[in-house]
Amino acid sequence: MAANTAGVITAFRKELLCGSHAFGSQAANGTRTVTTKDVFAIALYRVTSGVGITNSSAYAATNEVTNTGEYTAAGRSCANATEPTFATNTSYWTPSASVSWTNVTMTGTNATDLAMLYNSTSTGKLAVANFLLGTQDVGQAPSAGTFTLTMPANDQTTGLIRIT
Amino acid sequence: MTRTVNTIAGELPESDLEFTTLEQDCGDTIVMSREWTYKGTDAKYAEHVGQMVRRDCWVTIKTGISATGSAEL
Repeated sequence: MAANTAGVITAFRKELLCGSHAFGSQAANGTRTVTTKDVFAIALYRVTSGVGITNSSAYAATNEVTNTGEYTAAGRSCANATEPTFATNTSYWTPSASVSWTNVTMTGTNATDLAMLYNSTSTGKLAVANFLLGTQDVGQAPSAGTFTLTMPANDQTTGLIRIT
Repeated sequence: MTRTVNTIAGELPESDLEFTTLEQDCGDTIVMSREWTYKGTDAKYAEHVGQMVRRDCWVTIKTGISATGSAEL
């Protein structure tokens, strides 16, 4: 099986232009009726399962790690208490807390090296970006333990999603 | 009161466990893992003596991605 690929999902750029994602809230206006922000979530995928940025435009259960401990299909929602903002011509957004699962066993073929951020509010659960978890094809293999994904500093140079 | 830790063998006394912490810089992420090894003498868990019975993983994303940058990382 092919290696997983990290990066911004190809279709996401087009979806941004179409207004398909609301990372933050916005004021009502004459043409846009959705003023609330969407819920974003993170799902984990098994190593070398061929999940990429062009062939994975939405969350799918195929190749996702199997249910274990607190981890269930579709992963877990991200805390989103911080509105997107901008500085020095860069807009950025980062979940406001780590994402964690306890009592999980992801060993052998269930090890994970890819986290997919996706919009769980959107119809079809549109994907945003894939992130490698450590070394590609090796990944992480928690055993009866806790798996925690900690977010980067929320600024214009390290924020999780940035538009320059 | 004895603190216990969840492991592949069930809840074990923390005092019967030793852990080592490993940290690795993987470029875009920093990975830290903590591996717990059973060091107890309870015959019930004899098969686990000296074995890793739990592993915790923390992955820290150092830098996110730019939607206008390169397509793949």
